Amino acid sequence: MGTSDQRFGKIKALSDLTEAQLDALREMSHAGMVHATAALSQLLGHPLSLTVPRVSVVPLVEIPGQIGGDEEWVAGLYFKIRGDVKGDILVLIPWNGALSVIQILTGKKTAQPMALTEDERSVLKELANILTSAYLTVLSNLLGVLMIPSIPGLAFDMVGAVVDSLMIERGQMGEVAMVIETRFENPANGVAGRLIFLPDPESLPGFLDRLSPNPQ
Amino acid sequence: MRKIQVPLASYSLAKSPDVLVSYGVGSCVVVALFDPGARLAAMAHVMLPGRGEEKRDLPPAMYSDQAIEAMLEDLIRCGSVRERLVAKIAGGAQMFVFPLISKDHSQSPGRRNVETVIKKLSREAIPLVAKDVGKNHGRSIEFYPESGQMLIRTLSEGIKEI
Repeated sequence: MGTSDQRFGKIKALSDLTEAQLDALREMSHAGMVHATAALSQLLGHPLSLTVPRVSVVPLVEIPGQIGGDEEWVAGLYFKIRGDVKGDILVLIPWNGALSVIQILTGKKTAQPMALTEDERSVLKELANILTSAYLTVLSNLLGVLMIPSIPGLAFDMVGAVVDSLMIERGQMGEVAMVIETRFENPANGVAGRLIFLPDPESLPGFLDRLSPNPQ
Repeated sequence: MRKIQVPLASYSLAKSPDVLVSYGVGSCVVVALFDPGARLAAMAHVMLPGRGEEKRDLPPAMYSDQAIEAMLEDLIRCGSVRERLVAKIAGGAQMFVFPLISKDHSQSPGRRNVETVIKKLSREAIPLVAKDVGKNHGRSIEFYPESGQMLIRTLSEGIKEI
């Protein structure tokens, strides 16, 4: 009985990644972020450095704790991924960092942090768009799969509320996510961000097989 | 007074003067059941609507039906009188709106969570005396078994009491 049980039995989890696969993923993510830096610098007209300190695989439910607790204020940008590999990407930028990003990109301070203007919201969406598209382009090329991001949804709110929505949308709390931590830096102010990638369970086996460091 | 944290997919009981708290609630629904006579309350931080599969080993308040049933059982075991119980609920927001592909808001997971909780409370004949649900913002929630007050804090609207 339980076709779902059989199905779940076959599915490999992200937590099953080997050290070698994780390394391959780190390398790809790094390549993706290098791509993103170039795009961002072009957008800004002056260089902006962007580094990938680490790639980790953690349960989604632990992410708010890593960021500073459920009530920490963040900008959360949520993309649905369609194509050969389906899933979700959530870009989390701490509140202060998000306000700095707006200031860097528009040259103006936000007048009302609680009620961003449409333009200010667009700036954050554009930034997350660049990160996500660059990341997916590189992954798509290296893995030979098609992955297309949607237009992002933006929530400027408590991180617990942002992450719980993603868990409910996916119907699972114990799920593990790949967390690509990015830092985009301006000499004056360091801004940290996280890119969280969650392939859908049915897309995972194919995704992980292609991640094998020694493809046949 | 202790603040008892009620994390995602769990529930807790508290007696005055202790306080029950859940921080950063988005599409989840927080359900508080309160017995004014005993100044005893239970609060659940529910994640999904309805009932999960019985055979799976689920967190105690992952699904709304099981959470409400478990709280009722525990409250009565701790001396509550069922006829005195009332409920307050908060949460069920829709945090993200996708301009092109969003489902109709009436089908958002937060909304579905709220509707299922309200139905279950009515089936259990527990009066729902106050609610603060929906919208597009997160909430931090405190429940005081001393008074039956529920305090709700949001980034955009400050503190409100229901």
